[in-house]
Amino acid sequence: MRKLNIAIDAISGSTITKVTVQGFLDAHTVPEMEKVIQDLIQTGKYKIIVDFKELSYISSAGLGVFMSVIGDVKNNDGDIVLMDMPPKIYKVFDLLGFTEIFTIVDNEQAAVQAFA
Amino acid sequence: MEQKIKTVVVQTPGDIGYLHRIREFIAGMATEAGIEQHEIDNIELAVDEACTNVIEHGYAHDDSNKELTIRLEIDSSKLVLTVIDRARPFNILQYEPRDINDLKTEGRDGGLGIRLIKHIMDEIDYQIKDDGQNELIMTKYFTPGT
Repeated sequence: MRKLNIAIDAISGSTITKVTVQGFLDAHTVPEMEKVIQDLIQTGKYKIIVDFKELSYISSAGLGVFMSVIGDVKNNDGDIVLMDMPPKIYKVFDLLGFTEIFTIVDNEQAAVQAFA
Repeated sequence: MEQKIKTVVVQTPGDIGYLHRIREFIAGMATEAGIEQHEIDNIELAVDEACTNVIEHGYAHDDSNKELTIRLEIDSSKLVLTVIDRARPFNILQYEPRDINDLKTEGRDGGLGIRLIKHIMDEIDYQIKDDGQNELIMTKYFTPGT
């Protein structure tokens, strides 16, 4: 079983990139996610959607990745929009008050609209 | 009728690659004890955060003797999760979480894990033993119906 799978897709007709995560995001798998996000930012891709539908677990390490880049993307007229979170994942964001900091939506249409 | 587990202990190297196995084990034992899923999710997170803190902030990277021992004790009224290590002591109880807005600008986790443990568990105790072992003892009380 792969621990963390990450897929990157461009949303056609936009400058938005969708990152789909599958598996778990803990201290061990977080560096892979960090690299993906950093690569996007360094290539000027500041509008990012993260699709959580197939993520089975996240710890504070995972949340830390998003916290560490939110400033960068917003300073460049972008954002990280978090999409389709299973309740177990949402709960971790909620426990820490991150649901107030991040834009969290249910589906891709809402995610794309969040950048409008 | 659900069988109540008394005490189980798992010992692993102090390596973040083992975190998911620790989580699986603890969650599996809690499931067998009949604990409700949302509580299992919480306990899984607490054990992960506690172990991650020891591995990342306790043990030195080149320490060849890193070990983690996790003890789970369940009875009808409570669950006690103990994380035992021989690393540099770090007393979670003395840690002051930074304001969440600092986290946003500083871009570091700054103790998010500790904050989560304090939200999830009802009691936390930290003991430094004479033989060089540190014990983080986290207790969750069951309310009727959990």
